Amino acid sequence: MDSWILPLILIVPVITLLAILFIPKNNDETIKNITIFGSAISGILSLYVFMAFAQTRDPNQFDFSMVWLRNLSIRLDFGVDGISALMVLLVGIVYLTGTLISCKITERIKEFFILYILLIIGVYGVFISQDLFFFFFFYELAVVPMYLLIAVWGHSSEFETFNRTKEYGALKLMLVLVASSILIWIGILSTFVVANQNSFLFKDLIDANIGNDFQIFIFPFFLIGFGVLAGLWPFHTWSPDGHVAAPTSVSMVHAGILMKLGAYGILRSIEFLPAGAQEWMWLLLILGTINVVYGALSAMAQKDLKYVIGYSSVSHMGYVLMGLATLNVIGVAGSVLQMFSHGIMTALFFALVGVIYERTHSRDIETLDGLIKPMGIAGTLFVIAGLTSLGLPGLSGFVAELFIFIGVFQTNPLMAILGVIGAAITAVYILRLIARIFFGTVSEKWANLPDISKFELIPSVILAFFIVFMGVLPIYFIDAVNESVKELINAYLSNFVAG
Amino acid sequence: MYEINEAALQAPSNLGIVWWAPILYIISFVVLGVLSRTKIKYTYFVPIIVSFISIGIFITVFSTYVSNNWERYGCDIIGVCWNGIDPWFVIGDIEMHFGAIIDGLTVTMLGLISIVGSLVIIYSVSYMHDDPRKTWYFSCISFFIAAMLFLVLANNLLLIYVAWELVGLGSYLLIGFWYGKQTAVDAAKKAFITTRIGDVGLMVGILILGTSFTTSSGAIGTFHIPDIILAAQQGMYSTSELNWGCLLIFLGAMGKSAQFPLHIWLPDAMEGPTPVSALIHAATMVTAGIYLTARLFPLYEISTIALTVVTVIGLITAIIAASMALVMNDLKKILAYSTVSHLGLMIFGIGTGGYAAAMLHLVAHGFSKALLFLSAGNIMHSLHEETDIRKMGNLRHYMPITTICFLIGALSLSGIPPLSGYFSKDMLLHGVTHGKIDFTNIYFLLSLGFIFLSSLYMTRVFILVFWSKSTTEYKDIHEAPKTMNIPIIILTFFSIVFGIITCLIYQDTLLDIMHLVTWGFLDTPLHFEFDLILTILSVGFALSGIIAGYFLYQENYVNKSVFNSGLFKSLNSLISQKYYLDDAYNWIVSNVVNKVTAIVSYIDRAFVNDIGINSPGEAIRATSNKLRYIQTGKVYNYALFIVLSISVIVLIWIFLETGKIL
Repeated sequence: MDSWILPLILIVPVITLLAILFIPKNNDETIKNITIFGSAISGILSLYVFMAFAQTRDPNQFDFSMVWLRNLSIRLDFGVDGISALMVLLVGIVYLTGTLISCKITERIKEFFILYILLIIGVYGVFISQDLFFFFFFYELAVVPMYLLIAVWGHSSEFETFNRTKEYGALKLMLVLVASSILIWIGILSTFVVANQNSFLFKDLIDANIGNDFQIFIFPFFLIGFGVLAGLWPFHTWSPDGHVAAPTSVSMVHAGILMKLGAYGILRSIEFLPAGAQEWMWLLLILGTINVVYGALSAMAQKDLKYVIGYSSVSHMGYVLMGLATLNVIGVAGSVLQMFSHGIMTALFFALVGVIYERTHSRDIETLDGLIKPMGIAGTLFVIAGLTSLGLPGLSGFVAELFIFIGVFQTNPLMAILGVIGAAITAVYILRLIARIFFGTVSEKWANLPDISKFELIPSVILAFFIVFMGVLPIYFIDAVNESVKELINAYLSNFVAG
Repeated sequence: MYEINEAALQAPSNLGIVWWAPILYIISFVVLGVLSRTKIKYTYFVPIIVSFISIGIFITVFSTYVSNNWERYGCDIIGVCWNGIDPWFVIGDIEMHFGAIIDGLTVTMLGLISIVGSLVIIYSVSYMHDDPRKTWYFSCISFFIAAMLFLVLANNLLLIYVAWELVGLGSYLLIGFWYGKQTAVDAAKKAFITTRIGDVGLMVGILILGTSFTTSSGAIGTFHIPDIILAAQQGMYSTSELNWGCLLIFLGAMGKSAQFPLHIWLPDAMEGPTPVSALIHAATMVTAGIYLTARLFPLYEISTIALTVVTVIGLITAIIAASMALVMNDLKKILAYSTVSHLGLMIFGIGTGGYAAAMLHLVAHGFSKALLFLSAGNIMHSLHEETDIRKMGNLRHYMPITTICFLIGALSLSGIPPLSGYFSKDMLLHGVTHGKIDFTNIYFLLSLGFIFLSSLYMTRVFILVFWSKSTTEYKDIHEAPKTMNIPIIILTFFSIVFGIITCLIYQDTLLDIMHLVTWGFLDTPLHFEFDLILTILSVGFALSGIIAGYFLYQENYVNKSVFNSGLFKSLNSLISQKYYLDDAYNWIVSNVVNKVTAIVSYIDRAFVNDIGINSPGEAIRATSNKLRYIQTGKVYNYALFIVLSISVIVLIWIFLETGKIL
């Protein structure tokens, strides 16, 4: 039965999607219920995959393989190791919580959920594919629905000096990501040809021992191509603008999962392009550090709540990139943990920003104040997310960032110090933000706002639970990730021992 | 590499109970946190019971410790190390256990935290009686004490960092407890951010010490404190690694223990409830930096540069803060500056090698200052939250118990024998004069100046609050209720007897416990030794401070023209403005930090986004705008274009075939 779990993870959303497709348009309640039901099943399956993996730590236990296109020998090949199992769990959590949060949407709910589930299918697919062709297929599948989700259900905003329409945000996101996909696609095709294995499978590509010169030439295509999706500086601006334009649940998926696809892609390309990775990682380390500090400084200057969180995502993704760039076990493990931690943390942030915006119709941090008085629970949850963001021990972000600091410190102490300083800057803007909008005297117009509702509370509590759980008992997550990362790094290192 | 002494190994089976102290407090935190949204009364019994159990645990550990005589095992053993079985997490090859060090240092801190914690909780029951959110208050207090206990137990630098951040969170939550008050919110934010700046140093310092060498088991590094100390003593660190590691860790200690110039958060932190100031910002959390420096003293001992920095920073803090305490008018702020000043003295003491004396002073000061804060709480409770000492006076007639307790606390901190402050201060001075450090004379003179200043400002407070004629009419003023006075009286008792017991009666057993075992090489006094000249000098300076205070503030010499002109006047205005430090920080924040962030944000939008990302798009759009004119939709235009293109292609073909055109 285990070998059917991974296909099932894709099939359940597909069935949900088909079910919605055949329900007449006006049955909003039925559509919501079916989506919630479907996402709950997906969530449970994801949890099962992770827990089953954590028990056995056998990377082959879920393997599923099926020939799809014999001539090109493209295979439908699924499997998870510790890294992707954790990512599958992340998708499951964000999918379920995002669905619950989306129940507030009133217009075109059927179309919304169809696109939303399509996006989720794509993301699941990326994390379980063991075949570069399908990896890319699902990757594109995840990117495309974003355009419509933002352009149709998003918000336009006007600021003092500039405007950001939702169409602009959606278009920019789409164009930048498609442009980066072209780089990846060039990389994939040329790697396929040069490897000459007549196979897109990761493990065949790894065995192919691609020549060093070619690796060094082609690795930047993957690095920049995937890096763009991970918010790599200076190609990050699509991300905050996209967040601001997107509806709440799309922001959650966008920052929570989509940006992780990029980092995950870089991680996978290290496997079959080790020499290229070794040659280029200095660049990723420097850009990642710039991400951290620059993102944090930008976040400090923002006046719009969503922009603050958007730039904090840019900053936190910088830690992920820094960790990857170390190419040592501690750093890469930290990077994977940070992907998960940041995923749930930022999903919680956006969920709560949605809650606040829905009630106040304002995201301007200058006009919001004293909100913890009317919205005690939402405020407490926001403070938890904020403390995670500044790396407080006992919450999920700390362990991940600690690993990254230790890992980076071994390769480049200066960058590690800049990273630690970045965490201090994060503390400044997060505490300023919290003090500004939640504490102090509450102005009259906010004094009687209703607190968080049931459909907002349940997903927020699920997210907060995972934050605290990972913070207090990180061993559970680390054990699952550690061995896979060790294998990956040992395989990477063995390339250089042999010759 | 590091092995636990056999004798120590046999004993610790019953020492596992020490973990129950923080665990019970955590349970109390969770339970009260859940209950805080309900209207259940009497929730404060949970932390009270927990605090009694924790005192019981302290006594058990203490007596086990004393009866097993663990104080001396040579320089590589520090009491008992105890590792949990399951690691908390694993980093590469490094396993992170919940491990404890139980040595004299830990036992001392355990006692201080348990006792003061318990008394403050009892005091708070009356003090916070009318507050609707008192369950949450007790929940936060429990959280703080748990983290603080965890901090002093941890045997691992990373665990210390974890606890270090968590006590910071507890302090943040409690300073900002009255979140409706803007000053409280700002103070909480300032405290967290300032200490966080120091924590950058702490983190980097830990990384330097933890990853610079390979352990015998082949792991890349270790954060286990005994291993690090042993490695340092065996010379496994290069000089610069050790210097930077120690200096950066001390930066963290400076943030937490409010050392100049990172002391600015502590006076503001007085916005929190007064019992919180007594517990967190006088007796326990602010001493974490002193604890850490003492814990790592063997490293500082090797790194002479770091030790010099520690000494100088401590002395500067002690004197500057004492001068500020002299001119402030807010009762709690005076006590806060006095705390900063005494923390500086402790750091100075460690710098001169007298870490045992510094720890003794830490405890003596902890009791006395907690006592002073709680007395201040009594006064504020009676005077409707009034804190300006110029509006007080003559309170001795209304609050006799508070007056006596306050007087004893003030005298103890001024160093009058036989109160406990005298012993610790003399031991510190003894360290200065006998330690093998440079500039002994200058240090000694400056510390005498410190003694004069500290007794002067204490006299000033006492006279203005309790003695001089009142300028305002008091309404329904009364002595505090018993539940508030009993903790104060107990603290007074400790302030009186602590020094006598540790330094005179049970000197051989008890003071030994204060030792961190002889790790060290410096020949500094570990015992209190009576030195007549030293005593005469120190007590003489203290008394002259008191006498000067009497004439200045009781007889009002301070209003004479000498003190209101020339040097005194400008000095006064300089100190009253807190040496313009707050202004300087504000200037930096508004003119540097905010400007830099605004510039970065502008660059991001104008250059990275508009030029880097948008302009290629706009260039393509402009080009296609031009090109679309080709697409007219008229057949004859296309036909013309086709004919032209074919002609060009034919011409090129001919050229390539024949080498010439036509």
